[in-house]
Amino acid sequence: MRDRRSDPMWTKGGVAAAMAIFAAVVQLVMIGGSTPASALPSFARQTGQPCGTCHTSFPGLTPFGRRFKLLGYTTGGGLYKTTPFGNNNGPQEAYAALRSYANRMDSGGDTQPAASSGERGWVPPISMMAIAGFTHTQADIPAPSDPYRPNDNAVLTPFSGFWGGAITSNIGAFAQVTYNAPDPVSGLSGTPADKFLHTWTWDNTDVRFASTTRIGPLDIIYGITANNNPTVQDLWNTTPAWTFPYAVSNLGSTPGASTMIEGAFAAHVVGVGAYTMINDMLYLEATGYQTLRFTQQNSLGVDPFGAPGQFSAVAPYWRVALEPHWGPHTFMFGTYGMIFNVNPWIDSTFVQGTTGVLGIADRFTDVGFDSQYQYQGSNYWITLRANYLREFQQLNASFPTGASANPNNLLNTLRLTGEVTFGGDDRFALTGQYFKVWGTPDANLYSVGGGFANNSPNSSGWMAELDYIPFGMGKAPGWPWFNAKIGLQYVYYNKFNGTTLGAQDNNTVFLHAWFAM
Amino acid sequence: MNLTRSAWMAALLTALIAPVATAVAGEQIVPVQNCTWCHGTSAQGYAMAPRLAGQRPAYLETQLNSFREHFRDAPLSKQYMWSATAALGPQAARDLAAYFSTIPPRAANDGNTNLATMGRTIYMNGIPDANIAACYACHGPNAEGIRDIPRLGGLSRFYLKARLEQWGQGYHSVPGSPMPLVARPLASAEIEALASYLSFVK
Repeated sequence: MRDRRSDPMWTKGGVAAAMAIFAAVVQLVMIGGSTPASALPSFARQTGQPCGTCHTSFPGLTPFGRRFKLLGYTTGGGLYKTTPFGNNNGPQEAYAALRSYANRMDSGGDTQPAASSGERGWVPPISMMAIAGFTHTQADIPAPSDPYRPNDNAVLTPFSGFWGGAITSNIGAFAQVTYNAPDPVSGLSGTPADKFLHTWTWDNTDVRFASTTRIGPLDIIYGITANNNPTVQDLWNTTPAWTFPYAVSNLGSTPGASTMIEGAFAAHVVGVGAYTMINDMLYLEATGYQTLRFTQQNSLGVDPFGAPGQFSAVAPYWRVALEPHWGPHTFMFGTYGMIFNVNPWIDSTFVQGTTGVLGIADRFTDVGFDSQYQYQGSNYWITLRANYLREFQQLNASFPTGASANPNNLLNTLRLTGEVTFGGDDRFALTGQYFKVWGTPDANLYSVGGGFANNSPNSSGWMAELDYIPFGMGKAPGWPWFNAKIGLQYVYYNKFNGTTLGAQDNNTVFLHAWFAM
Repeated sequence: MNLTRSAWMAALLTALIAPVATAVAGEQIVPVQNCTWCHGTSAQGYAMAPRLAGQRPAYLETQLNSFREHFRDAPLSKQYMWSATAALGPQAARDLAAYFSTIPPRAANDGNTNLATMGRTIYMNGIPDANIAACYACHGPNAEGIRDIPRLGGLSRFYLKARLEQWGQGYHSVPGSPMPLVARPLASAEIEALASYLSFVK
């Protein structure tokens, strides 16, 4: 029998996380009620809708899930009061306004204020999520693997707390705080910079204002988003922040090369932007991002050296998506992109004790093209997703300093994903994905020391995941806001970091239980 | 650099404060948004959710109450509308119905044009040989509906087809509806033709 004290699942952070879950469950049990469960249960309390209205296999979104996000997480309709503000814009006043409108229209009817019957008080839109996973990799983790065993580890990570829901009738938020289990010792850099590694961090955050209007023949939804991760605000699960795989093992290997927009600056930046949806079909967005200062990142639980550097100017992000839809069919054709001017760290190892950046900047221009088709059947969903990203690298800083061997590089990534979700409750989801990373060989960027072979960033492989979701349309007995997903994920590499030789050593089986409450 | 950061922070604060001010000042009809979430920004229908704009208020009201009482029980009704109406009082249902009935409807125009003529013939004349009554008799010459008989003109082909099929499948709408009796004999080709024709009616 294993000693619990040495089991990573019971590390100090893990125990704290488990206690936090317990405390929160006890607190929320006091609220009671009979609302169906959802991926983010606070959204279910607010809308009254079950998980399956917005999600196929969470966090993958249905057309209605996308509209909920578009409208700023503010839509209500559940048994509970939508916002904490009773004096303005609350449901009672809104119903009164509607009553007044109805009276004007039909010049009749009684004048008593309309009320939603059975409405209960406001409950803070707090949710929690935890993923407990078992990981088997084809080859053992390189020694030293502390605090883990060389293989076949059970780890509780991540654990997240959320604020998810309306603040006013126009403003809503999705904000996540996450505990991530530490990396194996062999995965650390072994430099003084390791002291900036954290387990608790601010995670995906998206605060929105949204409203609607009409201009001539056009129905307009417009809004403002303030967020901390380019594409976290996007509506489609094709773009990087919310793309499949939704849960990955912290002990599995992932390709070393990826474009900047694929999370390189997630939580290192803040951005503010404006978006609109015209005639429920054309989505346009422009957002500007800036990196947080070193100390700000560190205080928020983010390792600043985890990103390539600091932006020298506001980084523009753009998004255009056309979503034709009829009956059960929804298409999307889109493009998006971002331009990053990045001053690299002078010394990302922190050996020199400096947190400064170089005066010259690398420029990365990422352009993405994505598409989705979604079909809603009587008791199933079919979703096909494609995402292609092309990154133009102008290494004006990295080339002179020798960090790269070329002044200009190209890097491409491709993900083709198919998902079939079957069933209401007792729902099964089968997802398959082909992924590929390829680009210009570079002797310094993709060196043997950096874990690459043949100076090449190229990787490719397949991923398959089978999920079981017990409560897609209904509710958990005794605790209506609980939902779960049991997932078995297998990642197979044809090529890993530039070589097919030994690529399969990185193949990973990840059996995980994802709890949301 | 500092100037850039200050300007950036100022822009961030402005962007965050401005919408708060707008939200407090503006009149928002929250329950309407709870409907337009799925039924489209101006309630013209979205994906599988039917158009509400221009629908007969008495029809909308009776259907909302029927969802709430779990009488209207087709699969999508159960899936979405039972939850959506669980906290909706009768007066609120009446007010929402009045509101949506005043929005000018737009035709979906998503039917098969080749079938529209056949659909119009069935709509206007019925199929006497099969003992199928003319839809026109109750729903009106322009499929505009009256009282709690719904407007059908311009609804989406998908929705009309699904509803016409459901009558023969044993699902319910409101107590005493004649539709199961009237629509059950319709063959699938006739349903397709009717749905196509009606989607073009303005």
